[in-house]
Order: sequence, then C-alpha cells, then structure tokens
Amino acid sequence: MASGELAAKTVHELRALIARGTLSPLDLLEDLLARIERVNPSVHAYLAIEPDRLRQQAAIQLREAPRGGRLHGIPITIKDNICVRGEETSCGSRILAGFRPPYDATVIERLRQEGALILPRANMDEFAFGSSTENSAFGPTRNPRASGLDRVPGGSSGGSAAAVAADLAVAALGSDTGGSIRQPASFCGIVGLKPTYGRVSRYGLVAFASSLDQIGPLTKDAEDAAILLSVIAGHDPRDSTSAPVEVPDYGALLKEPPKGLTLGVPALPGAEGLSPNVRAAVDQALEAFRSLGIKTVPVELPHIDKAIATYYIIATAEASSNLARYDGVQYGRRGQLQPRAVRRRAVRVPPACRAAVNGSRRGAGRGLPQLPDGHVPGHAQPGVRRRGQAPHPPGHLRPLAGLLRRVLPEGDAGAHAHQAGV
Amino acid sequence: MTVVTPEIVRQVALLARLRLEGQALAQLAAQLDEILQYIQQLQAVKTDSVEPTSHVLPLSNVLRKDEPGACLSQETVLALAPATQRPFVTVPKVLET
Repeated sequence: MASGELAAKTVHELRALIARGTLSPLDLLEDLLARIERVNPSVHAYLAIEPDRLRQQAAIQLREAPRGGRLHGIPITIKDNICVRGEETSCGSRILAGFRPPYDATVIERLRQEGALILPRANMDEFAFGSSTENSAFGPTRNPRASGLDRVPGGSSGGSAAAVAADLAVAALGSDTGGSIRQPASFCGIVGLKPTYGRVSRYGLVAFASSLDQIGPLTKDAEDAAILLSVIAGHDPRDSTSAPVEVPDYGALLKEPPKGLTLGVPALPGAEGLSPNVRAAVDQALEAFRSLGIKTVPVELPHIDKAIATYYIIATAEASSNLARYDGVQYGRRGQLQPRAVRRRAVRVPPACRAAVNGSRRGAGRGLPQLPDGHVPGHAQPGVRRRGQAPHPPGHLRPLAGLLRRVLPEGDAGAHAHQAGV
Repeated sequence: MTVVTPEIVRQVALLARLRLEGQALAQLAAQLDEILQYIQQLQAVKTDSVEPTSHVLPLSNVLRKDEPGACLSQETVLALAPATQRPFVTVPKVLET
C-alpha cells in the first residue's frame, strides 16, 4: 500500500487487517513513520520522533505482548504528560526537558497488555495550561484542517488531536481538565472523550488539577473511542480516586440501538457569541438524536454563570500545589539563586474559601436536571479561532459536576473555520 | 475596590522568584485585581446548607493493604536527580546561615 494510506484507517479497520494476517504491524509502523517524517515538520503534532528507537521498541513490544490483544500491533500516540517508561516526558515544558520516567502510567501498561505500540510525545500547551497548543515551550502545533495552517488546533491536547486529524496517528490519548480533549477534538474535527472522573486511572499522568484531570481517547470515529476507553478504563489501586466500578464493553454497547434515552437541551451558555454554523451543527445533531427516537427536553442550568469562577479557583489552587514540585530541587532547571530567608511557597487557598467553592461545585451537579441517563448536550466551542486570537471563554460546568463529556464531529462549521463539536 | 496593589505584586513575585519591573507591576496588579473581582461573584452563592465535597464520587478513606511490594531501586531514583551525593539528593541552598 502507498505510503501514509494506512494511518488514515481506524483502529477497528487496522485490527481486522492485522488479525486476518493481511497486514504486519511493523509495515503499519513503517507506513506511519514515513508519513510523520513528511508531514510533521509543518503540523508539529509530535515534539520528537526517533524512528530507529521506535522500531526497536515495537519489535520488543510485539514479542512480549500476549497474543490476541485488543490492540495488537496498533500504534497509539501519547500526549507528552503521560509517563512512558524510559521515554522523555516533558509536558511541553523546558522545566521537565530530559525527564525520562522510570515507570509506565497505568494507561500505558494497559495499552501494552493489549499489544499496542506506544508512540510518545504529542505536543501540548506547557503543563496543560492553555487551549491552543501555542503555549508549548517547543513551538506551536498547527491545525491540519486549515489549508494555510493558520488556525490553532485547540488545546491543551492539540498535538494528539492534530496527529489524528492529519493521519499522523491512528488514535491518541490526551488529558482533559477543563476541555483539553474535547475542545481540540472539536477544532480538528475528530472524536474526543473525557471520561467521567474516576473512570480512568491518573497514575502516571503529570497532575494539573487532581480533582478534575482525566485521561481519554482522541480518535477518528466513535467505535475507536469505545475500544480505547474499554482498554484504559477501570479501577487502579495506585489511584485512590479511581472508581471501583465494572467496565462495560463500550464497543458492544455502541451496536445496540439507544432506547429510552432522554436528552436535556440547555439554553446554550454564551450563545450570543456562537457562530451560526456551530449552532446549525448542534441543531442538526439534535435532529439526528430525535430521528433515533431519543426524546429531547429543554432544561435550565441555574448555576452555569458561576462555573468559570468556580473552575478557576479549584483548577489554579490545585495546579499551584501540584506544580510546586518543579522548584528546582527535585525536578527542573536549577538557576543561580541567592539564598534567602524565605522559600518559595505554593498559593494556599484558605480552608473556609475552599469549602465555599466546593459547595458551589456540588451545586453545579445539583442544578443539572435529573434525567434518567444524565445526558446534557452542548456545543464544545463557539468556533475555531485564528492563531494568536484571544481564546473563547470555556464552558467548565461539566467537569465540576463530574459528568461524562464527549465531542463528536458535527460537520463543517464554516468556510474558514472547520468542525463544530457536540 | 482595589485589593491588589503593585506592592503586593512585588512581594508575590519575590516569593515566586519572578523578575518583574516597572510597568509590569502596575499592569499585573490591575489584571489580578480584575480576576479577584470576577471571582468575588461567588460570595453571592449561598452554600450554608450545602455539604462541602472535594470529590465527585462517593469514595472516602480509600486504603490499600499495608504490604511491602516491588518499588523503584535507589539507583533508579537517584539517576533522575540533577545532583546527588549518594545516597542523598543534593539541593540548592535556600536559607541563609
């Protein structure tokens, strides 16, 4: 097959080809590497690719992985904040440049157990702070859907999203705290899913806001997202916040017709600034849901206007605790500092203040209407912005309420902008 | 009401080891003040009757069995440190003697 064609296929298509014996995993890897070499310099979805090292590792992984794995021989691209044993994991930051974790994150272990080949170092906003992947210390990623490459791919998992969209990856993992999977998936016109908090182990994910972070898949279609989630989900004794709840076979569930579902449709927050194309895509999606026999009811989200303020207290306070470790003692660059009588300290949010904020977080969940299945659709973002433009205000209610969020591509959002997500 | 003064920004910058000069102090003071005022809207939320929660799942006191297991070797861990004096990690001096 011609170079680069294979990476345009989905996980389930490639899995079938490999299982039938018509495709060898090493040929697939070669095909992908050839395309990365050709296209990555302009898109910059990967920070670094070491082809020889990857070939070597792939041979070892294929030898050691048990036969019949659900991802046998499929390369999975990994965001630069998920620890891969022996591979540089820098979080898009010079502070962690050169850091090679001595262990695998739980999600990496699970991918390996199913025979996947690990393809590290998708670009990201530094320490996952950002929503455009312009804030990587190693240069921005560009949105491959924009012909002039003059649009942002979204972020912070912009490298993962751009890689999947440009067929530089079959499928990828990213992480999402306040939209970092869903928003880039939306901008790049692919499928992105932030699992319910606790569904996927955070062990080995470099922490941003520990009570909000989740690892999730970025894929070419919903079936691939279901396959990846089935592999990475599940309880992990090494993450005390992971949920001891059984993992269903999401792939099998996809094939069942949706029955007895009711969707709550909120008045879209920030709807004044919404691009008409995005609004049309959301309406079209609702129409598609209705044609499948799903009931839709209008709902109100009484606390939505407090979501961003609440999010920014929780996220920044947790981030400041988590990032205090990069003080140059255990990790990070050591500058020439004059010793002082004071030490750098993390910002402390007083307990009373924290209690109040967490109270309003619970309120966020309460304000959502009680629907039998708890689905509340909304748009992922008002539209795709140009590089360097000011970001859109994000919608941060759902992570606070601990709900599952997913983005499915919903057609072209406009002549210049690209995909809208629901 | 202005809460964040350039003097406060100067103090925070010192603690964070950030070098900020001239215009930047006044500019950041104004921006930080704006952020705090935005956050102030949460004061209007009545949370007296809401039980505080730090986690969206009903999990508490999650403990594992206190049993020794495999862990990283001292060698492996020290190899990650920027400077060592075995078996210790050498750290920059931060306090005056």
